[in-house]
Amino acid sequence: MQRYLARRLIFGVLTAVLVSLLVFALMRIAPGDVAQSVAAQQAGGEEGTVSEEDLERIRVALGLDRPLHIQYWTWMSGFVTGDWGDSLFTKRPVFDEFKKKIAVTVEIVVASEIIAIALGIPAGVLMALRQDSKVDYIVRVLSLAGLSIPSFLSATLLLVFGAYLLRWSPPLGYVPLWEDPVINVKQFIWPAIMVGYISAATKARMMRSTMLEVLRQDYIRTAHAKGLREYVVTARHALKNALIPVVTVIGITMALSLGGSVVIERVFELPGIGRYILDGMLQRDYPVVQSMVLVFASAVIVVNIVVDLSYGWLDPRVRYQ
Amino acid sequence: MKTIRALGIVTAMSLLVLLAMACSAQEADAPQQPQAPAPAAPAQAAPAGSMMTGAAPQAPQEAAPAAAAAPAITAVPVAPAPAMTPPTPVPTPVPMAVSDWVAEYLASDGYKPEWGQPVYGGILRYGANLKLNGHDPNYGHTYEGPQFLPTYNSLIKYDPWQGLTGPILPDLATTWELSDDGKVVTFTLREGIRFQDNPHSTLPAEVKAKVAGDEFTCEDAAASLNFAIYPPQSLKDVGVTHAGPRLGLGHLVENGATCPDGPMGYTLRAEFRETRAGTVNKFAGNTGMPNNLDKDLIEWWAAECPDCFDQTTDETYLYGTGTGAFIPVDRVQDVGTKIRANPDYWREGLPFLEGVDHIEIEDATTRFTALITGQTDYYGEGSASLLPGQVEQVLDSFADEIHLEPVLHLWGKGLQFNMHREPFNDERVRYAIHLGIDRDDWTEFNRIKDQVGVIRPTNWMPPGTVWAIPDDELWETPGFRVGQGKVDDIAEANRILDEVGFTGSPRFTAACMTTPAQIFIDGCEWFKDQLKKNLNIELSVDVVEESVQRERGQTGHGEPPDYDVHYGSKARTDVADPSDFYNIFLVPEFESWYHRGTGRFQADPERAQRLLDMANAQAVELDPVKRREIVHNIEREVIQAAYMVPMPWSIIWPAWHSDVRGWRMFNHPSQIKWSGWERAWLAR
Repeated sequence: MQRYLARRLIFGVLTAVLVSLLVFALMRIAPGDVAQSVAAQQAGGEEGTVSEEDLERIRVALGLDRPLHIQYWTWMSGFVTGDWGDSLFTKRPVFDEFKKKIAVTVEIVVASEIIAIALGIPAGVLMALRQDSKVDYIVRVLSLAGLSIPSFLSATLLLVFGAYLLRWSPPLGYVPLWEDPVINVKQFIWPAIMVGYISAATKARMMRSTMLEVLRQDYIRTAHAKGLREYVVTARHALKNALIPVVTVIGITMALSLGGSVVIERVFELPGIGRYILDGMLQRDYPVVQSMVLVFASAVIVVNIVVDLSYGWLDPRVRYQ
Repeated sequence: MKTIRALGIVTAMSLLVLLAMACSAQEADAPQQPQAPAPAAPAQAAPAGSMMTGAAPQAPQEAAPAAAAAPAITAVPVAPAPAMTPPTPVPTPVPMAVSDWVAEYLASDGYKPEWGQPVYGGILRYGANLKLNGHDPNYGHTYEGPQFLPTYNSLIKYDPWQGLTGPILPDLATTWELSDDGKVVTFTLREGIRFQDNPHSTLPAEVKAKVAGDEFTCEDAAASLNFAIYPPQSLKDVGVTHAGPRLGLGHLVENGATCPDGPMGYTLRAEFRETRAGTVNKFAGNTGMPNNLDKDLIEWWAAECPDCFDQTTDETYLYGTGTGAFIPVDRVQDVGTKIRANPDYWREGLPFLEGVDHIEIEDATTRFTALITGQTDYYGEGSASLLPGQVEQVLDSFADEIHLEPVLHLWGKGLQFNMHREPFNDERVRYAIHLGIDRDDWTEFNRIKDQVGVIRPTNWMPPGTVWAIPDDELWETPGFRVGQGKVDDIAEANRILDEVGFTGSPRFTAACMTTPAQIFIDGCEWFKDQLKKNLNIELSVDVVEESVQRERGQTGHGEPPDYDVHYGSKARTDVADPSDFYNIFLVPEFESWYHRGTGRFQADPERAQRLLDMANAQAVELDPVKRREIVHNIEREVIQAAYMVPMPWSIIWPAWHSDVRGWRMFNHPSQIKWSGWERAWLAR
């Protein structure tokens, strides 16, 4: 177990390093001169011209004149010590901004996963137990819709229909959970539902297929033959085994939810990491994008390691080597 | 079956819980709106200054025609009183005590009787489309401006209820006088004005002690003007150039703002290097027009915190201290800002509003739904005004609740040629494209129901101003014609292209670079369609991000731009003064990045020099008749030069709830409008 964990961690670190190299290179390969954008910002968006001297001064100030490997090393060595550099535009430390914003994104992801699990797993089991019934077809259609409609579209539809039909739109602003939980829940419930719906659809369909497979196993038939109640057969014998692939899906959907937060936070105007990274990408704000992508990648790596470790708890036959 | 029931119950319970939470969220639509107590009615008192419009200056008189007749815009009916119940608790309106200031304003030409009587109290909620990244009062910040410009006063200003067609009013100056040679402006300052004492201010104690409640005198006005035009090296070192004020008043002599009656006196003398026709107008409506700060604050800013006002944080936002109607009281990064009425404002009886909350809503759909559901009162500005589809929805479904005020945009749009590249280095090809497009088609493309979306005819000068070539002449000018005239124009364009040698099919190909905003993509797509249909030219559309556009367009360093043609915003104006346009088009010293280095001097040096000379000549010509003649000659010559194809001027669609009163919008609205917040009120 410990060797397995150590190996996974080592591979995780290697993956993170590869991601860091990739995002560092992509940010610089992508067209668009960050010095021009900074100059425009410093001019307050006015129509003045920018001299080559101004651009050079900005490049030097931002450290963009140094060799690429030095820039990379400076960023990476700072990253592991909590010095993620300053935003090229706001000049504020990226790590400080991250600390302010991470709670918003984590809350969206966790809330959406809770919703997805609460809806998706029971719905999947229900479909399996009532295979080819009306219930099965209805829930399948709903889950297919969840898979087909991206969260930014469902969120936009929510806004538009809410405004037109009910004269309602989600509350604006952001209040932290620890300051006012009631208002916070009211602000987060809709984005969480929008992200969670897609995630629930994935889980429901996976749950249905694995549950159907398990329900056809001999040991389930034996359990029925022993006269066990259906609840006991389903919950204790079938569900636990059917959950293993679904747990894998939970790891994947959490990663997708992180990605989904980029758009959802903008639509619902929540000041999280998603909006931060989106703004950073549009402005070519290297330190912001690099650090946030690395954080996202690290989160996905950690979640997947946790998911893999949970197999052992769900299925005692699994051995870590 | 029990299992199925149990699962059904779990699923149903989950749905019910979500539904209940969602419904509770719906009930509490916008509960965060602070409950503002109704302010006490202000005491009746005589205003500190008079409402006289100052000694009749030469430049304002001359400038009057600059903002003459507004173009004929199909009016959107003013919505009646709101039918909607306000979604948030609102203060009980307090009967107003009419001060002399208020009486003056209500009696002025800009007042609209349908507004009714002003009501005190209430928080106006403004849907801001951009994050506040800087609050330097010397920048224009058309979108960000409302969040901090109402903290300040300028010396003089255009009447916010009449815009550029109205008089220039005194603000912190009571009178002004232009010297005979036009190089010196002398202001008489208002006495008894004090800087705000903001309890929320986060300025260091020693700075606040010097600033709060300090009297505004000449030393402050002079320091503010010198600081605006000549920011100290410490600010330049962090990239702050005050480009806006410099564009209009950059001809101020260095340290040219002085106090002939001493620093504590009330006479300000501003000396300029040269005579320029628009000097006084620029004091009243420049981008980043000089707003007045305390001298001690400026000195501390320059010495201790040079980027504090240009890198806004929750703390530095509260440094802002002026003499204006509102004080900054709160900012939450990525959420918004709050300004509140200055209880000691020197214009007794103003402002009417208790405050303004600016809520950052970057997404246009979210901002629109917030407006129509009553979570905000005001929708964006300029390019962030309502989108055409949203205008249609308002006209269809919300005409009673949402007020639309269509006005000409600050910006004119057009197709820019890169004259370093073939075939656009050939004036005949550029002129053929000018002839070959059917601008009426563009008008129809931009129509929203029965509302026009652009104004024709337009050359470089804004339509409807005396600076523009008269409509009668322009309608008859090749390229701008309609009907058979347009048929002839297209035939002539094809003949020219044949003559140049482009006889193949297609004649040639090119790419139209633009940015992802729909209004810009529409422009390139329209040109693509027109050039293919009328001239058999293949144009592809090259949509790039803003940062890429700047990289490919911003040259001026000896290298030509990296595009064929570029569609986008091409000209902007503060006060509809010809120099606003010609400076950024034709005068290398001020050229905007998207006109710089496009090769007009290489393509035809004589013509480029002639246009430069004329641009400089009109800038210093004080006789409005002679100046207009020069401007019209420039207008005629740039049609022939065809450096770019100007498009019919766009209309923007600012929108606000019908219960927002005392607020108007005018053609080419720049940040000068934000001084109008002090006269707005909520009729709830």
